[in-house]
Amino acid sequence: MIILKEGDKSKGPCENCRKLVNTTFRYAPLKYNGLVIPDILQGFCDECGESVSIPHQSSYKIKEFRERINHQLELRVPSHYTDILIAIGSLHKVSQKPNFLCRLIAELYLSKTYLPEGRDIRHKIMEALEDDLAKGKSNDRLSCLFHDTTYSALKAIAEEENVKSSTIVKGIIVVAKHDILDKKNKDITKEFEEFAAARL
Amino acid sequence: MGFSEVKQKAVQCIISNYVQHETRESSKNLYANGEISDDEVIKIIQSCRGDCYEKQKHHLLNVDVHILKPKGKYDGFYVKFYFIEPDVWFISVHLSNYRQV
Repeated sequence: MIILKEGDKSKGPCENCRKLVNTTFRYAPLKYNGLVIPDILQGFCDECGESVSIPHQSSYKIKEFRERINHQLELRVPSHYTDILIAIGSLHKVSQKPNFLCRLIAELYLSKTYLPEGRDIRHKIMEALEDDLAKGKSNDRLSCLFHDTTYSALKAIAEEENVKSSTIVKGIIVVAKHDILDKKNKDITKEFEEFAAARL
Repeated sequence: MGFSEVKQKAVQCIISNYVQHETRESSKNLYANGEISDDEVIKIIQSCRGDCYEKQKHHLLNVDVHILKPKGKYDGFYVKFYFIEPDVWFISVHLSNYRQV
């Protein structure tokens, strides 16, 4: 595996100079979706100093940083949603804290949206919002902290589906109820327990 | 360069870590931000046949940009890359239009 280091040379297309330029790698902050990620190795244009490239070795650091950044999401849900969360958490001896369970379940399903089955999961989430279970007066309040990676996935789906982020989370809770409590889907249940074990 | 050769070369670059990502689109590039692994990108590339492939010229360079829009398992992914020796340069790896089958 090739690992680049500060001072190494390459070449690439500079948007500023609008041509192929020589570049030099150095560590610098990277602006990323409103975040500033420090010390990311990038290839900078030797002529204007613009960042031209990110070598692939930096992708691991970008992901690691994003997983340390949390975003808060507040949502109001019908009380039976809280019951679903606590039932899932209690039956699998994970937790009885609805906020934590909400975060866990949302992270589990959102982590799959980048996988090949991601499109199907999104369909399931949107369909779940039509479910009778999705109805009811929102009396309870949930407050979840999501990693930047999860939060970005959530926002991207909400944007594409033209709904609020909180609506997607509600859909996920209904899907989880069907998968874990009703169908007792072995794969997703196992993943849920492993996911929880890694976060407790 | 034929499509088979393009795929083979891209996979070889990934295996050897001769990979760079254009900074300008990096926040939308799931491969650049670590959301998608090397193995997954290789699988996406290898899953594509000729009817999932097109190419166009880079807007700044005189190089072919290879565009893959896989069908089947990876339907919805959109992969865009080109080569500047010795690297493969990814402009984008993202998911688009989830409802299209």
